[in-house]
Amino acid sequence: MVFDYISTQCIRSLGLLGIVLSLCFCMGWADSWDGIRSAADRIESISAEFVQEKQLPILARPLISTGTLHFRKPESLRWEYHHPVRNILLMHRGSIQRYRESEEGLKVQTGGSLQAMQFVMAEIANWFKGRFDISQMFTARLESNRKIVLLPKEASFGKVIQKIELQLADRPGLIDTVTIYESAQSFTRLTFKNAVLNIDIPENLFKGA
Amino acid sequence: MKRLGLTLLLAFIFVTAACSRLPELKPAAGDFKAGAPQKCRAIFPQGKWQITHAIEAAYPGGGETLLMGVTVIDASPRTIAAALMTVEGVVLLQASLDKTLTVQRALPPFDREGFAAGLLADIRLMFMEPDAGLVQTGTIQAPTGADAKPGCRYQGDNGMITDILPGDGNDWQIAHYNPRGSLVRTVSARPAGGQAGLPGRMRLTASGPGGYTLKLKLIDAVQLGD
Repeated sequence: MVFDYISTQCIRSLGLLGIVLSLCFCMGWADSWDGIRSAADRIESISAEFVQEKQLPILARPLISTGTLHFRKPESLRWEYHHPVRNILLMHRGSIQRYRESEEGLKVQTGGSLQAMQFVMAEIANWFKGRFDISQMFTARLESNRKIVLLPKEASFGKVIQKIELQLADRPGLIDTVTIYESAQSFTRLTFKNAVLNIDIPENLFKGA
Repeated sequence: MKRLGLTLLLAFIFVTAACSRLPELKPAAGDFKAGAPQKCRAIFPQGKWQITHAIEAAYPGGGETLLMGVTVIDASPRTIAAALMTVEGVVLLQASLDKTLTVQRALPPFDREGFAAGLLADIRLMFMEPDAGLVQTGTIQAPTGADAKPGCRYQGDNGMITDILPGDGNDWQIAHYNPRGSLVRTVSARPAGGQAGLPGRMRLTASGPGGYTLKLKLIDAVQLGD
């Protein structure tokens, strides 16, 4: 009986210690760029769902899109919209492809607009690697409460995107939301959920629709 | 051989142009004639709406892209606010039209002179009854070459002519002619996937050397209060 009591207390204490240690670990991970990079270093792949909410001053109701993303180091990314239209962006081994919905089914898109997307996709890949400092387009500022603010380096680009705010998650290495501001009233918010880390993502997922 | 090719090309252009002339309007049967203006007006949304479409745009030279278009229209007063954006949410063009055109945002190449005015004119053609007066009702040959259908003809002060062929349900067509009687725009609607009385699919074709096609798939239609 006494043994049972001691055993239960030990388990409780160990559990409590575990929670405290986890909290300490989580609280600190996004306090510095080193902490963010270190957390990202432990991530080899991410799969998650996302909800995209578009707000504009003219809209009475935001536009909602949903999709999935898969990222695998070093630089493979699949950014896929499922609803309301299917649209897939793929980055793998330095090349980029887009598949888009059409009346005839999925169509592969080629051409100049994809070169611009290459920069964007590389930028997103750097976020998942915790490398906010090597951006060609943005200056990064780390704020309290696990928030990162990205400001355009060039004034001309600032007319396209005013700023980007990334809210990092409790869980080390993950991002909760990304909000892209075109103006104070016009923004796109991506909310990530059901993230799964370090699973084996088949290479084919990055090579085609 | 080259001369023969050129002759055939010119003949083709002539025949095509001839086919795109303003078709003759013939008297319609009594049933349609009685309710014609209401039937033609009924293809357009009444009141205030927020309408979202996925737009497949095909440009001269074979370029194609997929965009999202959101339009807030008010039938009375006749106002339009519209935004064209990428699937990722980047706003490429935002403009509004009441008595005057205001461009809130335009990124290259959508900042070309006349682009915003052209886009809003296309939106007005698709979603608003012509502000020109209804001049005639009758049976009109559709620009697609299908059988003649009962329809309405509107003529604006600027000489532009708009034929509306309401058809059954959300299966309708609009043909827009310049003052010389040449076809400049066609809009056709299909009911599949429709919501709130709006067609699920629409196709706008702009004729001429800089012509383009917009295929619209209805995503969402919300009626708004005042």
